Amino acid sequence: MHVADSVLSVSIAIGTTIAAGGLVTYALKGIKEEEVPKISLLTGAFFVSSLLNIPIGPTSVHPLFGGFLGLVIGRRAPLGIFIGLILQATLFQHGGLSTLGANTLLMSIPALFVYWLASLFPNIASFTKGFLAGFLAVCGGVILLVFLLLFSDHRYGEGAFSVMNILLFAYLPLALLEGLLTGFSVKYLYAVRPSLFNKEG
Amino acid sequence: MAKSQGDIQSDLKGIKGWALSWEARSKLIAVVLFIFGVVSLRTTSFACLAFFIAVLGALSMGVSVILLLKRYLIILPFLLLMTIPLILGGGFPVEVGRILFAALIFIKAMTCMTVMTILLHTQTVDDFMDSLAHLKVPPIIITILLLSYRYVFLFFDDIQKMQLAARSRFFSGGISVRNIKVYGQLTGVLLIKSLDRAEHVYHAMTARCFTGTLRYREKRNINRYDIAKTFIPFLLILALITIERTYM
Repeated sequence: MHVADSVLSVSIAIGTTIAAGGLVTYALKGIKEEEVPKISLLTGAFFVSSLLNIPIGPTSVHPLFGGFLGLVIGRRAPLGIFIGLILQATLFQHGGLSTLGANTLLMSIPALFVYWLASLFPNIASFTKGFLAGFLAVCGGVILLVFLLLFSDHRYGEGAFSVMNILLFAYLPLALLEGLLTGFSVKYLYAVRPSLFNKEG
Repeated sequence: MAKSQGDIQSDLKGIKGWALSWEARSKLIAVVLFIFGVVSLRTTSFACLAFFIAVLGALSMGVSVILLLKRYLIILPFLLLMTIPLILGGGFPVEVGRILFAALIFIKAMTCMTVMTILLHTQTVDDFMDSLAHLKVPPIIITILLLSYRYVFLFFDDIQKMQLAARSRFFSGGISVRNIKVYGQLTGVLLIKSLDRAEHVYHAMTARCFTGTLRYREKRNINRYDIAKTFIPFLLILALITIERTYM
């Protein structure tokens, strides 16, 4: 879900950059020095996740971990996602500079939603929590991407084989896969290191 | 997958001296302005001109054609995913307007990739990180950026060991639920191991008076040559935008 430079119109690119700046400022507010190692580590994990290929036939997919970041670092998730995307854009040219803001929003807003949902329903089973986090984060990101594309140019949504339809169909199985992967991962981490999910942890 | 810092770190062999001496902050500003300028172009002919300028700039700095082609290959699948449905989405016969729109996206993306290649292959990653640190970005962001960047290589190392361990146990990958469970647990193990290591590093850093802000190299002063190198691409893209808006 890395939108490349030039796919979005310049007004959307500027608007999303400003909005992402606001979101990162919100994530930075009240940050403590002790949180830095955990955020840095999970940002590194988020960055590396894009290089963790799971082979499927002739192609491969990689986890996104946006929902996972939402669960573990909560409101700091936009910060981790923003920095992870800078690293991905600059070291491996996944994504772009003009779309850095858009990509940050696509992944941060669902991550914050996951965090809010998890705090609203704290007693859900760990696997279900992880599954929903992964699944909803990908679905939320795709829905936001579709909106951004439609705001950029209506042609992205025209026809039966439009970019919009292809995105929606292509990402549904990926969202399920991400949900399962995050679910198993979160279940394991809850069993081994439950403090990771505490706000203080 | 990259294996070490050396695999990510740019090889500066063949890069011209004037490109290497371009101060990192001013280079970054020039690249950001140029990319936003390219994104705002509306016609394929002017996008082609911007692409020509970017490629000429890259080659004159000593960036190899092979490297540029490798970089284009990275975004090719994503661009095809975006542009083919755009061309065929309106049904047959294919409309010329749709082809031009897809071509515009394609050329602009290639131009931006060329400019990003200039940014990343005419300086070291450390120079690039330092340039961010000296651009008045909040120190906490830079600290997290630099620490994450360092952790990445620890992850690479651990991932390779875990993949080897999994292969030695006849794990071949794929997307069955059992395999996804293995991938999920491997991710968990990786995080736990790395988190413990991060804690140790943090304790070591606090013992050495870490206060949440890392120290960086002294910033280099921006001289008039750096300003000229920054202004030339900016003026070129501004000229393209102005001419396009006036005459097209």
